[in-house]
Amino acid sequence: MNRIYAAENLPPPFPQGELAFIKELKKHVVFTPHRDDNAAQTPGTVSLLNGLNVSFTFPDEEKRLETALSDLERFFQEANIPSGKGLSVVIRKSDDTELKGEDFRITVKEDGITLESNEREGIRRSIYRFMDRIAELCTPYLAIGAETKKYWLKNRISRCFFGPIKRPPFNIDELMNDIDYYPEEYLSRLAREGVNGLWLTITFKDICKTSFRPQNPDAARRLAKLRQTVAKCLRYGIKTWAFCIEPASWKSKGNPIPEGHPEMGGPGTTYALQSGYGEESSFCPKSEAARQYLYECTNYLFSEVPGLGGILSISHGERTTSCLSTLPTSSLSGKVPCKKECDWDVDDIISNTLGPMCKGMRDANPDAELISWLYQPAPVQHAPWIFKLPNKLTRDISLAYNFESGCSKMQLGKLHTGGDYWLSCAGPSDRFARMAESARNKCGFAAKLQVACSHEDATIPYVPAPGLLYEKYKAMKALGVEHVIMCWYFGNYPGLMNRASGMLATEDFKGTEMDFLTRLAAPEWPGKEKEIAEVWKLFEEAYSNYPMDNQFQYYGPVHDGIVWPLHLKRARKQLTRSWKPDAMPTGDTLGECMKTHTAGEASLLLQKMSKLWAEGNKKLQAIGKEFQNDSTCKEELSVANAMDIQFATAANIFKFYMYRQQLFEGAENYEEILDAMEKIVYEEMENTDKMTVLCKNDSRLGYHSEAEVYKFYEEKLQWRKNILKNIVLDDFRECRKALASGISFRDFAENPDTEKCVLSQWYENASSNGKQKRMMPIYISKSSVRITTILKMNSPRSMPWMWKASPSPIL
Amino acid sequence: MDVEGLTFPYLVGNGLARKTNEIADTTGVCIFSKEELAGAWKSTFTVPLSLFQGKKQILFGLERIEYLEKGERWTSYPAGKFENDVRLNLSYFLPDKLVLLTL
Repeated sequence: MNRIYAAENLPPPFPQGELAFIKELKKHVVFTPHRDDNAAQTPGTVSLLNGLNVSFTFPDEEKRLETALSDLERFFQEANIPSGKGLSVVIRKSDDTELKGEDFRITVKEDGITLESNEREGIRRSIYRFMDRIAELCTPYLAIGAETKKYWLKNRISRCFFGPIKRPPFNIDELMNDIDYYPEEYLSRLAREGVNGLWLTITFKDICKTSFRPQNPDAARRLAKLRQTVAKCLRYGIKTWAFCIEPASWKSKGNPIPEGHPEMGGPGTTYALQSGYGEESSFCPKSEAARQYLYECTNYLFSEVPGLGGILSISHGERTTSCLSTLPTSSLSGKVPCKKECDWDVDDIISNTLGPMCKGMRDANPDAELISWLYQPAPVQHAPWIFKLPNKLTRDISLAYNFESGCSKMQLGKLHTGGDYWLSCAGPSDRFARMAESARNKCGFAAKLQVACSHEDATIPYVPAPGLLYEKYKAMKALGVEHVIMCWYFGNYPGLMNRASGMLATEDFKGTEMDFLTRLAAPEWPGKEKEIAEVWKLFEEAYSNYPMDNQFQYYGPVHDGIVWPLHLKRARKQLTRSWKPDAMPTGDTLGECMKTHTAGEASLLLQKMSKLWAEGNKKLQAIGKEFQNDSTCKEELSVANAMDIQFATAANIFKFYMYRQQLFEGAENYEEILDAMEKIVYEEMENTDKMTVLCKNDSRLGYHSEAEVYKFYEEKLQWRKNILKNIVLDDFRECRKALASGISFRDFAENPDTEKCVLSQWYENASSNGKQKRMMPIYISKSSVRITTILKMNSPRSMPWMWKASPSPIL
Repeated sequence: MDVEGLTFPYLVGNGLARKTNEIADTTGVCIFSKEELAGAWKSTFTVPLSLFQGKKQILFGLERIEYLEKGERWTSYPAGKFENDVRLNLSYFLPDKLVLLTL
């Protein structure tokens, strides 16, 4: 038994109770001015020293701008600017009809300042921009001139960082408890950063009322909480979006086909289809009844929840929804495998599914919007049928597509293609660009990406590499993207990257990336914006070395390598999943996190990433000494430090196992190698200590919003240190003795318990009813391995079998 | 997973047989066949050795799903208790639960 897996050495349980960072999100982030108020006034400026006298004349019957005005007033106080006297600041409705939606203008003249827009949310944006203009000042003098901002990106949709995912294993529905996931200060911060939408999860069966089936008894409770959330967020100009995968597939248990309407059942999922039984069937939109059902669902929801912003529904790619779900993206025929063999093509199916949903919604709330997200994350090329999907959609529906899925880049001389999301790769994928082309002049178009962080590293609040966002948004604008879904469950903590996204929504991209980064840095790092922009460029360069391999994202050591043990002895245990609350210690089979990279390549890339990041971080921490009292700067310094440790640790983990492999291969310089490995153990003990200090001061670190737990935290870090100190270093002592006595490393470190070659019996898991016991004959010939089983027929009909086999080469 | 733990464990086959005497090319390199034999089903999964590029040993696991009228029956080889929570791209194949085959 490997001692690390002994019951007495297992990691401590995940922290319970309210998540520590919620306290931080409830707090106001205090602004600290960095002005020299004794500086001489320069020509072409107005002075703020005598104060600012705000006059608000914009019609705001619903008082939704009260929050922004209150933020402005508080900002004046913190910025040491007298308010209610001095230079006039008029906030008014514009007479310039060119300003649409959130567009605004700020005009600074000698006799006063004007903030204008034609719409309420434009005024909100102008107020926050005005605050930034003052924040970036190094003297109390504001430049005379006009600044007009026009939004090319309408909806900028994020999500609550700690909103429950309504999925296993915790299955928490945020509409069914009394927890406030949207504290005022959190919303204020998001609004200032430019976020104007948040999505939360619903299902039609939980909340909607139709003439087709009885309503869920908890629907009223859910609706009440949803109304409350919608109203609260709207005070900050933030719309609530109902995220769903609707119409959901029918399931005999939990979501049966409505009685009397078998026509609403479509073909089953792959497995069910293969079996011919199909406990789960997709939604068939072909009938009037089906479309009426969809209409009633959304019409009810939007009638019951005034102000609900819209629907964000995955229409293909995740879970089963309409019959389109039974069509894989690789299907060359592009035909849904349905026995009904109707005459609808894929564009008919999606338009007849989304159309009634959109109509039901708009009949109740004409301002609500529908975004249909095609989640097609695989790195491989997709069949042409997917590009037909926009053909029959209308302008009041938008398609959202993954920005990076299928994108490619060269790493160490090899071309790699990534699936899902990649912050480290600017993108877009060819597939995204082609979908943008297909959607043009037919329907709206949205990009789905990860603004703050992605599966690459989801245990830090954000990756401070805004230059990557600049490149992405520049391409988005060029491709005609109108909306952005900024995150999945993670990738949404307030801060630098959200701010960058908000600013990019009005960027014309006529300047350079460095110009943008300098402007982005100005409000938080006044006087040091150029240096900070250079640091961010270094971080961007560093992060671009992240191994572009989806397995590495999901299972790799970047997220929580800081609590991985280091196995000198073979454990032959699996890596834990980054996005799940896996509690067991992580194993040593690094191969699980590399599908397209070799261990050597991943190791080299991690070392490059770590080295460059450390270089940038050193510069950042030096600049940061002047900003120790500034909350947002302190947050950024902490994140950069944490990532510095994460990358160093990930590189160390790879180095450690590469060294171990050399020992297994019988390296003669084993003493030298053991010394190097032991040095890594000591470095990792030190890194663990450093991360512990950071975690004590920064409760954001370590939390993974999809796993819904802290992946690393003080107690677990302490546990790791103890494992390294008390078990791993012990193993090194034992190993040196063994090797000195002539025992080979392989004999010392191999794990014979997991190396048995047996012809075994079948194991039947808990779901099995039978008691079969079959031997497994395996024949190894000169050319092949043949595995044969014989199973007695216990049914008159042919039994479909599905096999999955996994051999891997060794030695 | 390989003994050294440094190579990605690849699925060599998703075999599916619905009809008697059906032969399926599973991943382009492996063959799955099924035939009726004295009131039983005999199924054979053939993996060419050339796939392993001259390696002397492989670690191996197999999972079988039968679709019965009462529902699905999942069985796995080798015997042992496996995690039921399937891991993305790695299925149920846990590195310490595979068998070693010397080729």
